[in-house]
Amino acid sequence: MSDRQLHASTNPLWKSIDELAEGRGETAEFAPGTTTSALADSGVSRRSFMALVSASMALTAAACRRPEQKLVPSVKSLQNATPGLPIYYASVYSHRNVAYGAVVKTREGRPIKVTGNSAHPGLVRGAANAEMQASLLSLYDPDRVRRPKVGGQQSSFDAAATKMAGAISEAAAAGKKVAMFIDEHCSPTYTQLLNEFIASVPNAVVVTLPAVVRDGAAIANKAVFGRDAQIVPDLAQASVIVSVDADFLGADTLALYHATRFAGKRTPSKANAEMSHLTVVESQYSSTGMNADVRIRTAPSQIEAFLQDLHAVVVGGATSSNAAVSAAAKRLKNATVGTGVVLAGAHLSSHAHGLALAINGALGSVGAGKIVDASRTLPNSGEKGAAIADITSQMESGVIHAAIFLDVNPEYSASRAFKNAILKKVAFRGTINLYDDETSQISDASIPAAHWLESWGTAVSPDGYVSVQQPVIAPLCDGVPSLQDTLIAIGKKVNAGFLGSTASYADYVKGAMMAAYPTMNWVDTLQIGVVAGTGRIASDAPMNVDAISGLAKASVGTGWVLMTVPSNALYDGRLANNGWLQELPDPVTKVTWDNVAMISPAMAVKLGLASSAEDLKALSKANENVVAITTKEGSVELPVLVQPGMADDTIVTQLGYGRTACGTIGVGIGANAFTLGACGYHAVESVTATGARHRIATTQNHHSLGETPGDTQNERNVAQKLMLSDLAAVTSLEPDYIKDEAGKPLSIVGEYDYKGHRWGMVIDMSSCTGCSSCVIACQSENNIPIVGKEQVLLGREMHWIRLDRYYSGSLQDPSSTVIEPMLCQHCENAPCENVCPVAATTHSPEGLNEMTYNRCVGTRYCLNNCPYKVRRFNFLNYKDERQPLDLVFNPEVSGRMRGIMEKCTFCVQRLHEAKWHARDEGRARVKDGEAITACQEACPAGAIIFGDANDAASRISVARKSERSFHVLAETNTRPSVTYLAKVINDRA
Amino acid sequence: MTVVQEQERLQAMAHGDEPVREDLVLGNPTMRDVTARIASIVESKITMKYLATLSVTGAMAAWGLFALYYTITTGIGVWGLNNPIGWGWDITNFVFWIGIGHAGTLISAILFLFRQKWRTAINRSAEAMTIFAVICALTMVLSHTGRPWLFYWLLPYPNQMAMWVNFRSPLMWDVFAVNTYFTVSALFWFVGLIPDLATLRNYVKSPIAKKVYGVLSLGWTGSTRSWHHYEIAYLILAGISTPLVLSVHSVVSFDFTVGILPGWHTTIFPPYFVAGAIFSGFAMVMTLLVITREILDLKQFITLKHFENMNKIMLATGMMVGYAYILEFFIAWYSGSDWERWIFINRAFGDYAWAYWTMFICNVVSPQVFWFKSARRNIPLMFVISIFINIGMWFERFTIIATTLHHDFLPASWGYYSPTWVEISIFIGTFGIFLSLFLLFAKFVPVIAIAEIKSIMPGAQPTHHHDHDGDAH
Repeated sequence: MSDRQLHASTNPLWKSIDELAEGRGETAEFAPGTTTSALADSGVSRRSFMALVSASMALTAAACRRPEQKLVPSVKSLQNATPGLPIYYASVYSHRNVAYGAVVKTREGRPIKVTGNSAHPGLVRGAANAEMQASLLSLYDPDRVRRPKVGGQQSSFDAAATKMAGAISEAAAAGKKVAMFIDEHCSPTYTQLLNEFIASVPNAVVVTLPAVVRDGAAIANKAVFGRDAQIVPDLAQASVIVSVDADFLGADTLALYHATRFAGKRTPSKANAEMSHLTVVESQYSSTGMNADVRIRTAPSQIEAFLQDLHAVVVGGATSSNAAVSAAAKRLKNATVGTGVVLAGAHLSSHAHGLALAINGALGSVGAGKIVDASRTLPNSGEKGAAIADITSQMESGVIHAAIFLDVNPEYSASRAFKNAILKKVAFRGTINLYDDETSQISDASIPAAHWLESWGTAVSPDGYVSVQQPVIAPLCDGVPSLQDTLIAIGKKVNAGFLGSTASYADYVKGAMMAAYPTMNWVDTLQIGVVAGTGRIASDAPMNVDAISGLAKASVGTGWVLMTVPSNALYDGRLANNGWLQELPDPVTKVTWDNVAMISPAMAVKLGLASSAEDLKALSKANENVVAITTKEGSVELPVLVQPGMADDTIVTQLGYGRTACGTIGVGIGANAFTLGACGYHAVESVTATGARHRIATTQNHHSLGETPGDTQNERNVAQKLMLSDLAAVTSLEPDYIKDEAGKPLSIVGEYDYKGHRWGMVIDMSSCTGCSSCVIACQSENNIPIVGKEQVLLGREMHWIRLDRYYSGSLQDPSSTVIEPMLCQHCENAPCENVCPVAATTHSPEGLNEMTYNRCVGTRYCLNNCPYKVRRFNFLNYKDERQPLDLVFNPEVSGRMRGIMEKCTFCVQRLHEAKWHARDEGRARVKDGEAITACQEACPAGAIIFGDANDAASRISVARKSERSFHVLAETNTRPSVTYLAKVINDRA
Repeated sequence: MTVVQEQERLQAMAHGDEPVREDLVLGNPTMRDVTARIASIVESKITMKYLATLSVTGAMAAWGLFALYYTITTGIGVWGLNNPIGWGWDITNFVFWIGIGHAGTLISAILFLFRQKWRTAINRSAEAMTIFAVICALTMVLSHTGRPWLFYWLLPYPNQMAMWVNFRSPLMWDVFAVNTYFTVSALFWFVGLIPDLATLRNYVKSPIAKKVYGVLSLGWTGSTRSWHHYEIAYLILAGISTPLVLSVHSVVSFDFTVGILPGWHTTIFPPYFVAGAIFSGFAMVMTLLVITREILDLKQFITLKHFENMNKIMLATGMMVGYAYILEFFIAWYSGSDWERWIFINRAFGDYAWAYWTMFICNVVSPQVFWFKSARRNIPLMFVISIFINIGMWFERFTIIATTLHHDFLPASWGYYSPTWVEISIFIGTFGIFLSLFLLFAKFVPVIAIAEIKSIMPGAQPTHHHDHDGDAH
């Protein structure tokens, strides 16, 4: 994209980067020659128009027809918007302190989809993660707070802000301090605002208080590099990765960033057999573990020992008796200099992180532009624990008069000591947030805040790209102000001189940005979403390896250990009231609507829940038993889930559940694992079965242990995988008996001749990490309802795309896992089509298996006959009727009532849109890459390729020729339009 | 001579050397006696016992209809169906009821064409059962769809949508098969009823009843000409009905065989379903006739000979079904397809093994007692066995539907299904409808074909060689 093209348009509206690049502005929304008024160019004069009107009036009056009714056109049209056409806005999503460029699609002024911004360096094709996309639903959440509260009573913004300002002034008068608690964020402007606030209100202190506090990396980096921050490794350069309990592809705010870079090296072919190698050493079974080539099941107490051994072998040149360590060390040492990397889990001690840095240093992977570059850091990621401990003791000593919580929820997530202190030692508590949450409920004053899609902001990505977050809709919820606007209002009440004449955060952001980047074109920045010319400048930092010895080691006992991890879907529980995320199956366990206590089969026996770790039926029955887990911090009751591949003597559970106040969706879902302690390892004092049972709603857990006798089905080759060493010998992964001598599919009828487009998809299971962002992308694009836990228990979830997970190997320690995204295969010989008595599902001339909702009577025969079981039946009316949730719907996709079938359409509405554009430009065909499905767009790994198989040059046509390609259930001769590429496991030594 | 003495005499005779056919009407009644005996059931007063029974079955029907109403107004979600399992008790019940009907058609059409005289005593009630069972089947199949109010979209009629139905769908074939079946059965039954309705018209005293039977008997005069036309019409309808015995359940089996699922996609289904249908139909006829015979005291007309013949048919069809069960396993093994092999192993030993073995024991093991003549003539025993067969045949359909659907190709999409109270209520409701209709039938329509049974009375047969005084030749 050249600068000239961007500057050529001063129009602030654009629909896609590609369109801008092609010089199409708003005017191109209409076919050439059309105008907005039909009469304008028709040559009808006012006089003749009036004559015609009176004549037709007379005719109407003369005819005895039904009474005339008039349609009244809207007098006020939406500014800059054409009804029926989407407008896209660039913005940025701050996933805690990780910035992801975003594009927000709006229709008639309301945001209907959030995708990644492909113009944002570092993201591909509009990739987005689940939370970012699902945050859209929270915008329209009916449970968001609308009115401020003072002393538990509804109040006005002004009164509540005055109350908070008053508390600050009272504190100042008493010579005490006010603590302002903020979450992790990545906004330079917010930091600047807070600094000015402190300067203007001297008795205020700002403390970063995220729910998940993990300081090991920051402390180690401070000691080794002198940088108190978390360094973001660049996995695009990595050929050998050893992850030591680092779930970098799963429950990690950086997972989206890593997935793109990691996946690039996971798709070998015969021609190019290059592939990275991933070793995962872990005690839980994480998403990253599912992607491992070698997974080493290790007890928490042994995790750091592994790193120590690895350090000794790689750096010290020693030998290890542990074969896994030797193998990992050998691979790292054999890797090209600068391509091997050891990643330590965020929850590990600073010493562990120090060891990892030392190994990486020895491998030549540390330095400017290298995998580990001390200048590639996350903003606001420094050590926090000490500051939190300090403020806690200050509160306990009574120095803190008031605490104001800016979109943080310590009452839910903080330690017992902290909660005690804020409740008993602080005179005033104030909150500014989106929900009436746990902390709001103990607050003396609370003020609602706007959603990110309603507010201004800024964000800086790990690579130093600065983006502006622009609101795309006027605040809902009766026009609540943004958090920063409220902060400005409070600041001005405390100190009238605060920020001078700047009245709003919008002005502040613009002012601050223009001051920081004087050459910036504001409009261009908003259009593209990134401040031109920003970006990290790689710099070398001297490495002080000796400092490692001074770092603290973790003291993980050898007894039973509890490990609390952020949830894959909810992370820290901030969006617990989001139904899309609650119903998103965990990539590994496939559990929805709950957190569970994951244990190994042997642990189930130890807890007395199963008689033998080999008896599959007994293990299956051990599931759903409720156990009370007690640590020194507290106790919670959780249902047990026997998880293959877990370390013994370990219990893993997810954070983010067990909210007691957040709205009607999230309350009472799961149990609050923060009660057991902060994110990380904890010694277990006791685990006892309570005798109760709690049903766990999994989308794929029935029989995943294979407990049915004679179960050879799990061995069926439905999700194929290959060893890298076997790849060279592969010719075809499909059985040869399904084709005739000429290689054509066997059929008694002739081939259908697809004359125009022939849509198809290729899914690469080797690059798919299982992150599940496609599931949310599809849900958002296609108006897919959530059904709730009870319906999931009945097996009625509605997702059009699901990620099937197949373990192989032993139950104790599966050797590998394959994730197979499964959606409508759009079969040429679709078994669903011929059985529908009313022809509601039919084949299109472009190869789509189309579902006509209006025609469906709901016999469910198609569902029964679908060998992939991808059809979804509306057993009940699943639409949440609460306002304004209906605003989230994509108007291009029909709603579905109860009693009818639905399924993946290959985003047919997007295909039509692409075809219209092609037609407007006088082209007969859609170009490759113009028609993009929602799942494909969101996939950070690029695992989904969609396109026209009739176009020999298209990416899909090329990908289909891969020797790794196969069709699922090819032997049924359904001839799917979706081709899978087998997962490859790197088995090189 | 009492009926019991007569039976004893015949039994003794049957064990003797003389190759003699048993009489099909006992007690040597006159023609007039026969008419009076059967018409008296219609003419007699409605008893409290009858009303009480009818109110129980009526309540069952009402409860089922309420459950149906709840389903239609709320959604299929009130049933236990889920994602892999799109059909459960709904289609199980549909196939079950369609199957029940088959005995009636077999008795009235095929046995008629084969001149099986013993059919006359039971054909009327068996045909009535056919119609009532098909009504229940229609209830199930019409209400099982997600949007039952659009049922007429399944009919090929010219419409503003310019939409034609999909003739490739076995469900479409079902629509034709079941509608044809219902129409032909109803017509056949009604045509057969005409002479008897005329008899009732002449017999009843109430003027209203006289009027009603008069209209229904279509001006029957009993002339030779009428009889001649009647016989021809009956024969033609019997001819039309005969293929239906084979075709209807074959078409119903296509619902499964046309599917590509292992456990459904099999060529053995049509004959196996037909045999099963006749098997279950006879079991249901047996269950009801044992009761009717007792309550209406029809021991004279429905004799042990009838029961024995029916038991023989059940033994034969039961073994056909058993053969099919075993052959399915062989073919699954022989096919070499892992999917097929696995699904049958899963059927017998998987989550629904209990249903499979219930089916197997009820359908294959229990009828084996009918190898013994004493068992074939033991009324309490045959009653119990017939109920076993009813249960077994219901489970056969459940096994085919649920075990196939709950574990198909992709292990990731497996599930489990159990019904909710709503589905159970609807099933009870269909029994309520069925039994209520049967009770109404037993009271207001001659349960035995009066005209026909006269033709097989001992005295009506020229070869009759008993030495009693035939007085009604």
